[in-house]
Amino acid sequence: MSSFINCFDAVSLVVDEYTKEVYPMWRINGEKQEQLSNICDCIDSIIEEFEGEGLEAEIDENSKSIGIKIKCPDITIYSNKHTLYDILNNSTSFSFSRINDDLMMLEITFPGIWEENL
Amino acid sequence: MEDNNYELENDLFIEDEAEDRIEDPEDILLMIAKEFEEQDKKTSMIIPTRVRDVKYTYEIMKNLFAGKDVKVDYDLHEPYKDFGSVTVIGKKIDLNSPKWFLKAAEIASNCDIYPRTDGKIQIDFGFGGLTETLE
Repeated sequence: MSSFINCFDAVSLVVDEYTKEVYPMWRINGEKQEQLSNICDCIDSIIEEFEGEGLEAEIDENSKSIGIKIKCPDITIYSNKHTLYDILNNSTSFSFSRINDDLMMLEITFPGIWEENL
Repeated sequence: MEDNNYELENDLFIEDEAEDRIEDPEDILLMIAKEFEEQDKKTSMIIPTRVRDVKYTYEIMKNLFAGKDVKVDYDLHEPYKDFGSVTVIGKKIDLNSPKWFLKAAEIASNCDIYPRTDGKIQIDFGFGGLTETLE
């Protein structure tokens, strides 16, 4: 993972850019943004725990969902109260895939944080 | 008070010694394996509810990945009789039902996710406590 950027900063970059694109039709829902910020804090902690080597954030313009991709060597969990499970519980979908022999990718999709600006 | 200090120092000394003796993680694994082998020789009884947990997780995974290019399997009493596991292997393991995946993860003792050398990714749900040793 880049040591100079945390999850929320990475997500905020794409969120801010997209918000400019959809304004004035859509605006950010503050409560949802706060929830996303909390999820990002949890993601930072699992990146540290699983020695993550990279993080990417993107927005699906059709569904307005927010995708976060984490690269790490592997994931081992010994507790059913693990932070990763809390993160996945807040997601709409997620996937695991292999990058190479030593690296895998965890992609998690979260609901969008925008609401119609009526 | 002095006696307590002496005991504390003595304990620390013993801990240091123990750390020196087990330097190699492989030694630790061999030690654990030996312990389980010893445990395996003892008469034990199967815990049906825990065996059911393994099969329940297997059924959840099988349903989640039905029709997808993902292989789901389970093992009971392997590598030792106290253990069971559910394995999920695929090029990409996609889940649109976090709730069901989390239900399965909740009842497993542990969960490992790692890349394989054949281009796929594997999820292992491990289950302990499938048997109880009879004294």
